[in-house]
This record gives sequence, structure tokens and C-alpha cells, in this order.
Amino acid sequence: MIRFENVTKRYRLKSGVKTILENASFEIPRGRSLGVLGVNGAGKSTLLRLVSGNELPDRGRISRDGVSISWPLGFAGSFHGSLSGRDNLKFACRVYSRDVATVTDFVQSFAELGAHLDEPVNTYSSGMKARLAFGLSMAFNFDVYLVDEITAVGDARFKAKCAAMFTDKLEKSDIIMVSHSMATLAEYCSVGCVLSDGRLEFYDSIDDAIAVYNSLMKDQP
Amino acid sequence: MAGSISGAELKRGFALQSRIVGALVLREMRTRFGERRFGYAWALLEPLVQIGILSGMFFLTGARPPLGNSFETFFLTGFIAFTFFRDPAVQATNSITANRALLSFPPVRNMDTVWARIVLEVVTNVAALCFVVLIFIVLEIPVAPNDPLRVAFGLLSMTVLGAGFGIFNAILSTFVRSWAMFFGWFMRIQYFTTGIFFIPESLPPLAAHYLKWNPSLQGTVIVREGFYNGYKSTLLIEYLPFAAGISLALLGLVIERLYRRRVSKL
Repeated sequence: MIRFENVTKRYRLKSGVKTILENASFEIPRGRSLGVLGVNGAGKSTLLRLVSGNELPDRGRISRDGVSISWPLGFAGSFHGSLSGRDNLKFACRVYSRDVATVTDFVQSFAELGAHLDEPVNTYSSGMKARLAFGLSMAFNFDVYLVDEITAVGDARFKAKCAAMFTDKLEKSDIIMVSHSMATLAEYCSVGCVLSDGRLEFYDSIDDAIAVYNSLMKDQP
Repeated sequence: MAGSISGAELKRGFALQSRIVGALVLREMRTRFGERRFGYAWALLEPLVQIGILSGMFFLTGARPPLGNSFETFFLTGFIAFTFFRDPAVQATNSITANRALLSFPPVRNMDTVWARIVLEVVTNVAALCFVVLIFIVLEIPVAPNDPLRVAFGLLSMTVLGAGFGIFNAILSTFVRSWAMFFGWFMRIQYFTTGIFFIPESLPPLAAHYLKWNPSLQGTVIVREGFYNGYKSTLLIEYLPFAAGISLALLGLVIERLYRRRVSKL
């Protein structure tokens, strides 16, 4: 169970203070995948980073009760450019105490990098980096995957492979997903929540959440 | 974080954090020394090169070393003491700002990267020390300390001081971008004021009166007291490097605690 207790998170911007969450308490249900909606700048990405622990709340407490949570997927920023793909995998395995050989084998066959795995990551194309990052996160079998606007990587065949892998993961793991594509959210998520004005409202069906979001969008200037 | 933390939780947290620091040390070794072919060789050779150049210069002046008969030995004690202070301080300074990318793994905390660099520098310095001593033995230059424990104590004091600066700098660098540059100037001055070239007793009284309050000079004094039979400094302030190092570390950690929620990880 992921639980937020009286969590406040604000950002100080040049234009003033932006409130992401104001004294919010809620539980993120397990066993169902959650789509996060909200207008631009509401703080959806920040919410994911609070869940993962990349960011700390200003006030309040977030407990994760031994649930293993991924880093927000969708960017390949965790890699050290001058290290090879293999050495980067090794580092991640040590951090998460996973077996290096198993993970490397999995990523090698999934990401289709071939001999590039032993080249420095800063020689990779952005597609190759994304494949490495995606493969790594899939190898780790997290309880909850955080997905921040996942951008499809590679050609049609590889996209299909990713989608199949993802659907497979949904059997055992949950997903918390931020996306601007309602179709993607509806495809992967069963429940939804809408972040607006420092409050997070949960809905039992993703369609209800999308309807609320659409009405919010109409109010936008 | 409200509530009390049990001993078991503390132990688990410590085990997790030391595993991550270990992973970071291995990674730092790869990135610092791996890509440049002579990276690690230079780390080992630098003291020898420095001692060689300094000894050659002072030999030409015809002067005699302030302690003992060998300039090589005098500069060895001074420069090795200096590196034990300089390296953790300098290398830890940009550990947080340079490691933004790997901080996107949530279990990796800002402070882990600082500890990792300090550990790596201490290991490297000990290796460099062994290497220099070995070369001195081969060249038959006097290198046997009178009181090895006191030398080790002096090097420890320099490590604590350097680590204290490193922790403080790493945290301050996340707020003040140009801090690393200011610290670079500070270290360039410290090269001359740490006591590589002199002992405080041989300074003019006014200079000694002020310079004895330089913590790194005191660390060098402890090392030389342990090394040279019969050298007891009249200007020793033994606690100074420890006090300065621990105060700086605590100050840095308090700042980190107060502002971690605002700065957080990037």
C-alpha cells in the first residue's frame, strides 16, 4: 500500500508559489492500474516523483510498506554517458541488489543492442538509450511501475514488443501512468485520478476520470 | 519524519546505504580512472613527482631541511599529509552536482555520492602512500617513521578535515554554483600554508602566531611529530583539524537536512 498522509508539496517559481498538493491524504489502491490526469502544470510528474521518492514532500509523510516502486520511466537520464551499457546495468543491479547476469541476459535479448552493449552510452542514439532504460526497468520486476508519458521507442515491431511486455507486466505489477493521450490511459488503466488545485480526486473507473478531466479542460481559458 | 525508528530499521537502512555507497565507489573507479589510461597511475605517481621537483629545487638553494637530513623525506611527510586533506575535499566538492543523472534512481541519496568519493579518495591515498614508501625503500632514502601510530593519527586528522570540507562543499555547491571555484582558490593558497615546505617553529613569530590556527598545518605537524624522533612542536593544537573537520561536516549536514525538502533531487 502506498499511503500519503497530510502531504503538502509546493514549488517556488519566479511567478509565485505553485501548489501541487495541499495537505492531501490518500491511499493509492493496489491491484489496479491508475491513470493520473490533470491540466498542464498541475504537477502530475511531481506526483510520480513523490511516489518514487525522487522528491520529498514539504510536509507530511509518504509510506510505501515494502512495495517496490520503479523510478519514473520515460526518460533515460539514469545512465552515465562514459560507461558502457553493461557497466550501467551492473551499477543499477548493485543499487537494487539484483543478479547482474540475469538482468544483463534479459536486457541483452530484449533491448536488441548487440555489441553496442559494451560501447559507452554516450555513443547511443536516443532510441537505443530508451530501449536500454526500458529493458532495465522491465528486468527488475517492480511491484509498481511509474510511467511518465512513455514515448514509443523504435520501429513498429519493437513498439509491439514493448506493448506486449507491458501488458504481460500488468498481470503481476501495477502501473501508475501519466499521459496526455486518453487512448493510452484507457488502454492500460482501470482506475483514474485527477490532480487539480492541490487536490487529488480518485475515480473508480478511468472513463469517469477522463470525463472530469475533459470538463476541467473546457473551463481552461 | 515522525515517530521513532527501531534498531532493526536503522540496521536495515544502514545496510542498504552501505550497499549503495559500495556500488557508487565501483562506478566512480570506472569513470574516474578507467577511461584515461594513466588515470590511476597518475594518482599513484603524483606524490613522487611533486616530492622530486620540490627536493630538486630546494637542493639547488643549498639550504638544509628544517627536520632531518633529507629534503625528500621532509617533503614526503608534508605532501602526503597534504593529499590526505586535499583529495577528499576536492573530489567530494562536485559529487552531488556532477551525479545528477544517477540520482534519478530513487534509492541513491545525495549524500551517498559524497561518501563514495571520500571512501575512494582514502583508499587511493593509502595506495599512493604505500607506493611512495616502496620507491623510497628501493632508493634507500630514509622513510621509517619513529612512531607509526602517531603518523597514522596525523593522516587520520587530515582525512577528517578533508572529508569535512568535502561534505560541506558538496552541499554548499548545490546552492552556490561558483563555490567549487572559490574553494579551488582556497586550496591553491593551502598548498603554501599547509606546511609542505616549513614547520611552524621556523616561521617569523607573527606569521606563526596566525598560521598555527590553520587546521591543515596542525595535521602536518602531527604527522611530522610521529615521523621525526625528537620533534615536539611548541605550537601544536592537536584537536584543531578534528574540530574543524567535524564542525564543517555537521554544518553541511544540518544545511542538507533543513533544505533537502526544497532542493531535493534533480
